[in-house]
Amino acid sequence: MKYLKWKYKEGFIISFGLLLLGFAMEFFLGNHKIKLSWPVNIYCALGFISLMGIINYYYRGHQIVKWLSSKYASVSIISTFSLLVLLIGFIPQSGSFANNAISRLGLNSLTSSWPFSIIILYFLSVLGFVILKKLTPLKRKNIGFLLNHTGLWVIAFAAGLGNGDFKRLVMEANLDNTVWHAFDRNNKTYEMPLAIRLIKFDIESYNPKIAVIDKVTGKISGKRNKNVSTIEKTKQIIMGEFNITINKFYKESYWFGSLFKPVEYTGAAPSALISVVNINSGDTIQGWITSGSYKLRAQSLQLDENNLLVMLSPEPRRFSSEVQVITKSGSRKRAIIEVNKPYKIMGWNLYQLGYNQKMGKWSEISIIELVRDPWLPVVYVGIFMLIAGAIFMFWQGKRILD
Amino acid sequence: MIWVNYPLVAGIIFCFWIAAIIIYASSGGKKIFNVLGGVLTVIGIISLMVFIITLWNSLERPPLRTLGETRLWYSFFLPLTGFITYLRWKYKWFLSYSLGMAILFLVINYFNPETFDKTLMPALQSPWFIPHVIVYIFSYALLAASSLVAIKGLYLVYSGRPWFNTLFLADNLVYIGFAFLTLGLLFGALWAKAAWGHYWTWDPKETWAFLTWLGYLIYIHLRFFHPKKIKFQLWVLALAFVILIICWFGINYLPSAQNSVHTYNSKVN
Repeated sequence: MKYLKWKYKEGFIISFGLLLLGFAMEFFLGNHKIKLSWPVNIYCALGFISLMGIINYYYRGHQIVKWLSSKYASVSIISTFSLLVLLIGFIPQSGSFANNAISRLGLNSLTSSWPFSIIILYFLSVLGFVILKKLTPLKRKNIGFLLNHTGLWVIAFAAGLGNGDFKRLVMEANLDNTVWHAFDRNNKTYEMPLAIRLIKFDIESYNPKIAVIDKVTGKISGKRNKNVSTIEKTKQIIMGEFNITINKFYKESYWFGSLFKPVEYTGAAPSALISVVNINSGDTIQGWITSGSYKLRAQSLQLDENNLLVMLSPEPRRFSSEVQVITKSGSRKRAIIEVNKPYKIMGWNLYQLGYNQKMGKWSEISIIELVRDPWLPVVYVGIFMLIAGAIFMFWQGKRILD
Repeated sequence: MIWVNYPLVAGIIFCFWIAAIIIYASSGGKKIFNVLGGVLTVIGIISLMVFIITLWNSLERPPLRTLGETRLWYSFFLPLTGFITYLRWKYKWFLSYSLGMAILFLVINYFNPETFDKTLMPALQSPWFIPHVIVYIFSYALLAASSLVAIKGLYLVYSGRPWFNTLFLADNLVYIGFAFLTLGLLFGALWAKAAWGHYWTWDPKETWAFLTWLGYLIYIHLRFFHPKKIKFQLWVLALAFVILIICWFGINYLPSAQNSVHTYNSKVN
């Protein structure tokens, strides 16, 4: 059998040729917008895998198949793919469709463009043949290699094919009604198999910080780390020439004409009664400060000609929505949805996404994101193979290839 | 406030490590000096570890958020890597280099301490936070070291001296560093699923982390396929580190990164 004498030159001609072909198609045909969804994607998956298997079984000695699993094909496609990712790294992926060169070539929506899809397909073929070559016959010393390469192949394959089944919608839950519909990014409405009713939205906050700021610029005076401090149990803080004592501190309070009282009204704000001694001059000032809320104006304390003592808005510790989730079959479940802690039901993941920022903690709505990704388990198989491969690699060091 | 104690602790560690470097440089192969240098190095590492643990306790959150805090971990892991490498392969110069780098980061933190406040935004409160960041920092420490080895390798190659052992060290560092880089990337993906609903969104930081990964991937494949063509590969290794630096620091300055979810300087959305 003849042996193909193609090397790096030919490897790069092929992969760059495919890249250029992709850009040409993008330019003349526009963004492909192909989203393979169930069950077409599973047929494509099985078709692709069978085709690779058949070719490998009957034609593995063929010069082209041999070449596709060669180092020349591998390095040239990894490099070309890296180049494409480099473009994604530099060009903002806004995805808008203005009639200029960047958008005509799909450069601002590369991940859904022809060149990207074509390169990925070629990448999957090369990587696939590389794996098949090492897979038969299966040798123990190749386990690390196979975990790494197959893991990557599975991730890329499943992520690409599952893209069409990936759903990401947004629901605006409120206190008054049970909401059955959700929106996608283009504001298209969807009737959902589940409904959400908000029971209570809440923000837990850290204690606020106090800071000495420059009256004119509004920026923190002097050294940043010396002139800001979180209100804590310690009552005495020295900031520059000011000796600050916190006499009273309320996490939630309201202004009653001359003083703050702790209350849990809607629109309550943190406040503190502060006395400040100027270490240089000995002057003493006393007064209330608050970071304010949507109902309450912020109050600060004038320390001298240039400096103000202010309370900064408290930083959130935890966003949460207590909700009732109702399904079409009539089941009702209470759930708490938090950032980093989605709630899973009927193949959907529910995420805390937003709220009415003006009202903050007292928001009467909570924006919940609903995500469905049926191919996720396949991607996870790939991810865990790659994790196992990485551990293998760490353990073996360079020997893995020797 | 534990940060008040930093100058003292850092000062002590600084002295130990400088002493260790001097001892290593002048030991001339005497075993007793090597042992003494090792003891000083280890005392420094343990002191820094104790400081980090205390800081962690007082902040009531892992100190992994600000650049200043990650510099502390860097100063901790660099000498640790250097020392383990030293025990395994006896590269004294490499240990001295990692100590030097660690000292540099300690000094930067002394002159430029960040506000070490207690707040940690909800998006960062996750069991994935610590493994994700620590694995990355460890990986960056190793890969930074490998790029320095690459520069030394280039010098040796161009001046016609023997380079085999140097390249062997570079490869080992890249292999272990790359394994950790992969773990960091994948932990990030698993975390992203829990925090943002999808494991991969081509966020600029993700894209650049992936590019970094691809850079070292190319190096590994070239080394494997062409073990004798070293000049080009050493340049690839040096270049891969440039991408890593862009990913780590430069990302905030790129036009493509204006809406990155990895920019934690601004308030929560």
